[in-house]
Amino acid sequence: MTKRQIQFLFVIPAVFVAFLLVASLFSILQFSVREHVPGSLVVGGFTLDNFGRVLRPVYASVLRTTMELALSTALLTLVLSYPLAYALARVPSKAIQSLILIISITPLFTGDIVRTYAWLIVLGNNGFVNSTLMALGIIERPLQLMYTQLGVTLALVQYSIPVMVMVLTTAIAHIDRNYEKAAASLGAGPVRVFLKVTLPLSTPGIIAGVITIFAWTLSAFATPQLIGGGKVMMLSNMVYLVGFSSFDFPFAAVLSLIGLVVSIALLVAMNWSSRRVEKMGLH
Amino acid sequence: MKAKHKKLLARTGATVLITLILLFVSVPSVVVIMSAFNSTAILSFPPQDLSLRWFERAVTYRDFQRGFINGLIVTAWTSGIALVIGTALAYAIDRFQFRGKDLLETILLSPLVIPHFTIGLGVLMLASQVSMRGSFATVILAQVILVLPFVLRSVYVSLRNLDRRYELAAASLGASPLQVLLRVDLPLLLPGMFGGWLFAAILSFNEFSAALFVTSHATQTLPVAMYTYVREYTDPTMAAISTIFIVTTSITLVLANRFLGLRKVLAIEESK
Amino acid sequence: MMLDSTTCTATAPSVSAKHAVRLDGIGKSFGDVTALRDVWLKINHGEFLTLLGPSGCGKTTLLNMLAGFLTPDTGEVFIGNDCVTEMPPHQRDIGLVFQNYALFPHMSVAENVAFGLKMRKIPREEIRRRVAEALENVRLGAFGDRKPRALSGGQQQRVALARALVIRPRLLLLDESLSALDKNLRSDMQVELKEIQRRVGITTIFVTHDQGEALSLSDRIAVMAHGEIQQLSTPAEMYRSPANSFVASFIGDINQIGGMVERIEGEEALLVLGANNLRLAVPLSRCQGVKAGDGIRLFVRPEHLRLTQEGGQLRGILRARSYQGTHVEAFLDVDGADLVRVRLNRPGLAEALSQGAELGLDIDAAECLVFPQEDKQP
Repeated sequence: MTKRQIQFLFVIPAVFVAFLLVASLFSILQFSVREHVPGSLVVGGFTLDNFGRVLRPVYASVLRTTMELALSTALLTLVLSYPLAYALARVPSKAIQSLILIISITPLFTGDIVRTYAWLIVLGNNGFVNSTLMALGIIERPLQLMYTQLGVTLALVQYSIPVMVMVLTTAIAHIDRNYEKAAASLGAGPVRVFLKVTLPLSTPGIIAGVITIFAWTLSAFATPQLIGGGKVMMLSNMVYLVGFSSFDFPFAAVLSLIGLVVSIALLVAMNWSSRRVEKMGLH
Repeated sequence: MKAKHKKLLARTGATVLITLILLFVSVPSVVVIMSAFNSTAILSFPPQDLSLRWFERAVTYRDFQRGFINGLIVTAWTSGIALVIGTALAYAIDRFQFRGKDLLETILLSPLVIPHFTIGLGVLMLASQVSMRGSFATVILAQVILVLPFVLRSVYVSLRNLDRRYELAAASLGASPLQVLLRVDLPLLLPGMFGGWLFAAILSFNEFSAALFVTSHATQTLPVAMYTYVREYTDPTMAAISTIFIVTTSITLVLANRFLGLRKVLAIEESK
Repeated sequence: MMLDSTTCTATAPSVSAKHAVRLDGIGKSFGDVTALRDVWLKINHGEFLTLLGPSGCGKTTLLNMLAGFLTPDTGEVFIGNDCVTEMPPHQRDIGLVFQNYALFPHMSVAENVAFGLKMRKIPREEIRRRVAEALENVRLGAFGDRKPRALSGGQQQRVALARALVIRPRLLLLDESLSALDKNLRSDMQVELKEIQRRVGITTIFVTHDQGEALSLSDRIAVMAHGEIQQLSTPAEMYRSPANSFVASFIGDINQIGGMVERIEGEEALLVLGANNLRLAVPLSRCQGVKAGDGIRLFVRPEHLRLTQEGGQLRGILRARSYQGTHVEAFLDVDGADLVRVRLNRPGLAEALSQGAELGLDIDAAECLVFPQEDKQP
């Protein structure tokens, strides 16, 4: 076998998968410009009308909700993940590190449905939070947590913490401890060492983490589907509703394309910011 | 002495903060496990009587059984295919120069940011154009696309950490390129490959969003069956099967941490 | 603990401190590993003191204690009159220069130098003046706006020094600060570092594993091994009269020959050396804790051996020659010793010799050192 043939053998299966992925995304594009024939799975002829429908208030509000949830989830996740990542990178005890790591990344691996179901019984009217608060006499009537943006956000944040922790821990672990020692020797107390040195030096991780979680949340489906219960709708839920309730695949395709475009924009933003960060000489 | 007190105070504060965040992360799982042992059909806290009846119902429920088997089939194929393709590509990216390398890498890593439902819908539409809707092949394709980036990343990190001098040493001792690959590279990459495979298998078995779009009733995986169940019933059978998921996953993670080092598998830390 | 805290506050603040730094019985363990064992050390004002030793000897642990990153298990650390044992690093007023300089990558050179002044809430106008002055001092006046990355290794080193000195610290700590530079630059920096240190007159503690650096820079050297100070003295004293076998073999090149003490006669010890029972009389002042009948090791530096073609106290076979520019080193296989290293100041002689030739060696007995056989080894 020549070297070229070996290379071909190593690369061609991946090319095949990449081709199918591109073909899938292209199918969406293809469906998006076809007429919807109500009551039928077969699509009609070429049209651009589907794109115009996006501007209707109901879809615009779904888009706004999606963006709001993605942003608030990303920021709240950042705030909750940073202490965990900092501890993971800096606590000397291996046992405590493992404990924190395993607890904080388990949600990533239990899957959407299990995690979302868990939140259902935590947030429900007879759920854990309300039962506990009522038993303690803090509230008299159950709080409405289900079908609210707050409930969806809480569940999404828990889902997003593992990924954010992984990104941030990598960033913090790569900071040379001598920078912190140098700052301390120059008179900076622990708080100022953190604010002036550690935090700025972990900026690349923070940017990457926030963008990743933003994209990650755009992709969320089960959580808003079950906890939002149709009252809090994200793009994914609307795609499912349009596609599988009214079988309007052309319009579902249009909505999916929006998700795709936003994701690609985020990817570009991430590349751009990491180049900027490189220029700043941080990594 | 004052400094010592301050330090103690700061440490206590940090411990409390970390514990609270970890509680937030883990409370849902704990609540699920608690309610799985509840004997009544209606959720209530704290549980009234302990019982295993929901576990019994969960493991005998036909849709769950079928979903479990389907899930195993899909997961086995998905993780196997992703491992082979991902390892080969990671090697090619690290070692070869070829046209369109960056483009190929970008396309195959893009599922990390493209919404799952977009990929699910895309694969569904592609499949329906070639009349393969709901087939296992379609489900497996969607899953391979989704988990491939993880295998790629895991093997790629191992490759980057592999000291090229071992290969040079083997070659200088008379090993042919193929022998170098099989006797030097492969054994050294095995931990990274296993980590990537494990990652892929767990994600594939638990994947829901894309699976909901591409599976039919005959090929539905366990998470899809669970989703259907949760929409129709409210009894703790779901809690029971969730408990099984949570416990299995936790044990897998603890073992992976013990034997592989999770930090390395997750590429949080580059081994030197 | 009670006792310690009493000691800690015992010094009267009104009396000006006799020593710039004082370590009183410092001990530290990490788990089962003892890093420092009962270390006592007094450092004079304005002194350049080097902590020298192989990795794991405890020098870095000691530095971390002086800087405040570690707290000793036992003992107290004094800087001037203040007991700083428990004081956190940011209150200590210490300048610290790291091996990799640790210049903040997200700040410009000037911001790096200004950092310590900002932490001290010094007025902006004064900060600007002092930063400019400090950069001028290390000949980097024009580089304030650059990022540290854009500077060469030597320039980064000087920025790090300026950053440490601009806060007018009570003590300057240098942690392997020259090791990251390449060889030529390093000797230039040695001269510059020493010059700046003398000009500022600051008490300096330098940690290194490089004995050459230690010898050329220090007023005094503390050689450390196994968590203890093996010897504390001036470089010249350290080189000529090492306190034990460890120091003897760690500082400079030295040959070892095994043997025993036959008897003590007046001011001399009569030794029997090597396989050929060479007899050698060494002044008792050059022998440490030996008595008649003891097994010993004789230490002799290459420059204290003389090569002869005929005769000689020891006979050996020439195995290798190594050209060193200013001199030639010859390696001889002598029975009862490892390869013996000899320094020849006349390169011509060595070239005339062929490998495998049998040659004689004369030992300058007055410069030899004798330690008991079981003395500390590196």
